[in-house]
Amino acid sequence: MGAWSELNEDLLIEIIKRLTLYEDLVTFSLVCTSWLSVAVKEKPRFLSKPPWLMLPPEKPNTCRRGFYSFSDNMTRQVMIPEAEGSNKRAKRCLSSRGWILTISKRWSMALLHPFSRRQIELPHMTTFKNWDYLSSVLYRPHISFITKFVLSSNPFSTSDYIVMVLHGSKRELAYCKPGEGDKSWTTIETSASYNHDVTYYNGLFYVIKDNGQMTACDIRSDMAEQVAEMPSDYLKYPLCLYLVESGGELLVVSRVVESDDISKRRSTYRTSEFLVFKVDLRSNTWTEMKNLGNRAVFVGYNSSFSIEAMLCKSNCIYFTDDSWEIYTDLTSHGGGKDMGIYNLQDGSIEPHFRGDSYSFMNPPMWIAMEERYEPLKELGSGNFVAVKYIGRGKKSGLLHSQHKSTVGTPAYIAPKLLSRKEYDGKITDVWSCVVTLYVMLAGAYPFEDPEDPRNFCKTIDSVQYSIPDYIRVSADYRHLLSRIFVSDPSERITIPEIKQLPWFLKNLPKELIEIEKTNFREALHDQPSQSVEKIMCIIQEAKTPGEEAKVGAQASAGANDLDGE
Amino acid sequence: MSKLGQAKRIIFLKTADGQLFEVDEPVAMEFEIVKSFFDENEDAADDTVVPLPNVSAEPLAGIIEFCKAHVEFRANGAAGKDEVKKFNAEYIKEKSNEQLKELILAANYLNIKEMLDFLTETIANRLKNKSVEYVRAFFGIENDFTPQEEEAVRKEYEWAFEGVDED
Repeated sequence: MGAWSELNEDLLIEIIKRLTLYEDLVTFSLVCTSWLSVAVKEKPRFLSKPPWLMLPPEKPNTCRRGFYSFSDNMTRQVMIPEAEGSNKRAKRCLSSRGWILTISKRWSMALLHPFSRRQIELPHMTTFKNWDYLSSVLYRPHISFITKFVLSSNPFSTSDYIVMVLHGSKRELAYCKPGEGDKSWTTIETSASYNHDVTYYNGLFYVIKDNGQMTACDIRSDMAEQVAEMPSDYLKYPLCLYLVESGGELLVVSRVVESDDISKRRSTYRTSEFLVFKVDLRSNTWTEMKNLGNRAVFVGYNSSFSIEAMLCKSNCIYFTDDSWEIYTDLTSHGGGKDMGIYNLQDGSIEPHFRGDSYSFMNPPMWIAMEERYEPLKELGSGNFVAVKYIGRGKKSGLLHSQHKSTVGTPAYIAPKLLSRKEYDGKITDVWSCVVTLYVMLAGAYPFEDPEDPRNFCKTIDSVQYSIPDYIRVSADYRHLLSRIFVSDPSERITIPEIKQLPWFLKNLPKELIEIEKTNFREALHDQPSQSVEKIMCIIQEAKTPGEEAKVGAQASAGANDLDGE
Repeated sequence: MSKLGQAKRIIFLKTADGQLFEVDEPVAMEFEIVKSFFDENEDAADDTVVPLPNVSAEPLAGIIEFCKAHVEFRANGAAGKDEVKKFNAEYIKEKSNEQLKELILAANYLNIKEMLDFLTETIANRLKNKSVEYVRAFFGIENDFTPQEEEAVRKEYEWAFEGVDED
């Protein structure tokens, strides 16, 4: 009788895929150590779920915050004492990448991860340039001074992240790098105009101003440069713009707000529609989009983001109330009224949260589910990638044999193998190597249909792959993938060709470059660079014991070099 | 040698505990492992016995029952209909936890996609909104965490443990 704890990993993964609530995954993790290890690996995929709506505190003096999940229509109460100040009043909160920026009434600032309650201290608000002047013109600066917060990456995955904010009445840009021990905020000078939104896209911060100008900011040089300008026809005042990346493209989302009669000073504002534009930064071309594909965009006080629409509606904009009218309206209960799901296809709006939840300080706000994603650590702790790859080959036929048997984990297998014709072992090995590389970078399989995860054959054969949004990869690497994930083996890039790519040559130690150069020349001019006899001789040599110690020592020295980089 | 137009072909399967099963070809071909056995041995004789060294008779009988019903559902165009759901619900109702485990291990070895989907779904449903203690007791899993380890993981997810069913 086998024990349930001994169910193999593949089965446990299948079970996890069918759980819907994060709590159930946590329960699953705590059952026993072997279940925990599988749950840890599956967590990133599991968490690619709809975001939470963080609600304002129901009562003062409680440390609880409600987190509403629209996918199952449930609100979970979470204890977060860190979101309260010493005066037992809630702190002002803004969100980005699953983290919250908290601002206390005494102007201290911190990053807070709501579910792990991890905190990272940030420079004090008084360290902003021109703080005395900028804050003097604002009522209750702890609420109104910082109006947007964007993280360049998740602090759980790297210490090299940037905290960018919009501050002051003109929403100017300022940043700090907590990982480098910054003690104050650095303002980025841009031409004076009100900034609507800021986003991190392809290694730069982009802002859009009230006059439609779009600027790219490079933190390394503190330089800001105008890159595009929104055509004046598209500027619909009163303007409310968001910047968001969706499927690798930079989008500008324009929120059209109607207000019946502002002079009555009553909050009658209501979002009537959204317009979405795709911006080609090279040519300053703006194209209105009516289709976001299978994606949804989330806007409000959060840093704008988009997700694959798995448990939410596709081609929709999920919005919360971030209007400033509430602060001028004496009859208002605070923000929380103007929320909903805008369908880009038919222009309809439906609610996502049906309760009443108003607050001046912390209106309902989206929290992205990106939490605790630690790709490097997870990959470091398990050799499963390498093990699976090694399992693919078969011992017979050491030389140029035509293999007939198909062995190994389907995700790693090249297309021609799946169709089970005879295949060239060397060329298909190239494929499998690159799948391994992909898994190491992405922590997921390249060919996986979310609808039908077991059926690798379908996606592999049609060579459909994509790189998840949360992973930044270089153009060189994308190029390599495009050359390798080609269905026809004869079209596929070969190892000697890979070794000539910039991707391979970058940061390659000098000694290796020389070796590679020689090898490439040989490979080009002298195809069978080793005779069968020579290979057999090498194999014979490898079988002789005594050399192992030396090889092992070299290998571990190599590994140390890599760690040092 | 198999010939086209031949009457119903029977596949012989032999379990780990030595029992011989005679299964209609379409049902046996639901088992990926049996299918690839015949794909790789095209000239296998009709009375070839396929050995299944990792499966014993009891779960195999259960699996055959399930696959047979589903092959018929598909033939009658009833796939995905209420009839199927009803059958599945009845099928699983009679199974003990132990039997369920034997079934999933066997279905995994035989590589039967449809059945695996159904069984993993069933197990996931039995886990949903339950306490850790309940799940351990239900599946008979021993807690192999040290108290410190368990405390550390629990602490990290404190908020997740409010309002679970205690059944």
